[in-house]
Formats: sequence, C-alpha cells, structure tokens
Amino acid sequence: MADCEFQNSLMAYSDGQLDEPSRAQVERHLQECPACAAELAQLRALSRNVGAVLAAQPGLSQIARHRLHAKLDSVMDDGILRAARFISAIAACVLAGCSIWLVRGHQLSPAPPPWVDVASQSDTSIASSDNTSPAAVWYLASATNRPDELP
Amino acid sequence: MSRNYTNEVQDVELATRAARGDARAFHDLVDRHADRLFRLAVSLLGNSTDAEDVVQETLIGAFRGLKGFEARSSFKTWITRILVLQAAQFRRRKRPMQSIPESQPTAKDQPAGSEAKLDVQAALLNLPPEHRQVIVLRELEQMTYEEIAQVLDIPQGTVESRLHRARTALREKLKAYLA
Repeated sequence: MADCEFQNSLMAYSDGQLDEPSRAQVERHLQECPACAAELAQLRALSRNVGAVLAAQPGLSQIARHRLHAKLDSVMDDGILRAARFISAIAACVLAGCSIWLVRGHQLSPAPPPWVDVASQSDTSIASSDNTSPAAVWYLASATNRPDELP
Repeated sequence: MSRNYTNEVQDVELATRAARGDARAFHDLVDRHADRLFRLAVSLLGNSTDAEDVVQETLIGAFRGLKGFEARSSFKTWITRILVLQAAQFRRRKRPMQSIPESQPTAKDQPAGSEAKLDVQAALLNLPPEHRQVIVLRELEQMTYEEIAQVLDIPQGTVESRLHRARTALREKLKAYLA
C-alpha cells in the first residue's frame, strides 16, 4: 500500500475534489487494488463519523440568539449615535465659523462714507448746504427726530 | 438553479441592504448564519460559552466591515473567514485551552453513542489548531479545498497536506471505531 502510486489521490477522491479524468483513473485502480479500496473505506468512515459528531452539535439557543440580536441592536444604535454626534460637531463648527466671520466682518467693515461724518454733527443744515447725499439728510433727520426735514 | 446559488444571491442582497443601513436585513443575515457559525465556533474552541462570544464578535465585526464586502468571495466564505480569525485571536487571548482528557475508545462502542462522540470531540480538540481548522471546515462545512484555502488564506496544497496530517492523527486515535 505504501508504494501505491494512487495513495496520495485517495483523499482528494474521497472528498470529491478530483477532476473527471483523475476520478475515472482512481476508480479503475480501485477495482484492482484491495489495499487502496480498504484505505478509501477507512477515509470515508472517518469522514462520516467526524462529520456526524460535528453536525450533531446543537445550534445557538433561543436565549443566546436573543442576546445576540440585542447586542447587535446596541452596536447599531451606537453607530447611529456616533454619526449623530459627528454631524452635530460639524454643525457646531460651521456655526462657530459663521459667527466668527460675522464678528470679524463687522469689525473690518470699510470706513464709513463721508455723509456719516457729516450726519454725526447733528446739523441738517450742514448736510443740506454741502449738497450731501439725500441719504445723509434722511439719516440725520431720523436720528434727531426731525421727520419734517426728511427729503 | 442550485440551492447554494440561491442562498448566496439572497445573502448578497441582504448584505447590500444592510451595508446601506437596513438593520432588519442584517438581523435576517444573522438568523440565516448564526447556527452554522455557532457550530463551527464550538468545533474550533471546544465549548459553547467561548463559541457564543466569538460568534458575537464575528457578527459585530461583519456589521462594521459590511461596506468592505464586495462579493469577490461568497458571503459564507467571507463571514467564515472572520469567524476563524476571531476564534484564533480568542484562543491566543485566553489561557491555553484545556484539553479534554482522552478516554480510550473500545471496539464495542458505536460511533453514534455518546462516549464515541466524546472521543471524537476529544480527538479533534487534541489536534493542533491549524489541523483542526481544516478538518472542521471540510467535515462540518463541506467546503472544497479551494474554499478552505480562501478562508484560511493559505495555498491549496497546504490545505491538502494539513488535511492529510489531521486525518492520519485522527485515524490513529479513533482506530477502534474505524475497524
């Protein structure tokens, strides 16, 4: 048996892993080699016994299955919470960025037009006499509660 | 259309939906594979408590990695690979597994008997882990050599040589049942 050239093919044959030509070759050999036939019978008996014992093991119990689903639910919820936290963090960053931009934008606004200086002197006559823009007069009039002087 | 093919198509469809955030689809996938994965884990680790932990870790890992599943291998192969890796990590983390004391099988015992089952289980647990993996994937999962090679990420020739060594050791330990 140890010298039989088919010995190494018997396991693959028993497992159904040979291609068709090799399978046919082994089958022809088995008809004329009792040692290989006995070896094959042993391999098959081993597979049958081991396979039967492994397959007879019980599956997951109902309690364990319930525990498993509950755990997976908590993992999925964690994932959603993490995503929500991430989105909230991004939203907070955007809000903070906008706030900073608004504050800085206000501080860095360009110098006021000349009519604001004029208006700040609270004298509509100056504004009018200088032929300053009507906006300056309107601003001054409303600031000094003199609606009758509105242009 | 074979049943395996139909199952695979349904698995891929469920996995795709689960990857898009459909929790129900993932729970369905779990129900389809939990028993099989649990038996596989028990066979690799030798007890149901550790097996339950490993199945849980496997499914959590699978959920987190679903977007990485691109159906290049079958879903069954993919998730089995995760379980085998998790089981190996678990074994390394935990204390070295206590071997079940081997009883001496006698010829009058039949393989269907409970003593014979214990002997077969003991013989399996006494195999080196890499030999136990190939035997379990072959005899329990009925995987082809090619599928086993994919799951363990080893060459097909290595699968065959490990299977051969594992079976030689098992035959020696269980010869009373094989006569």
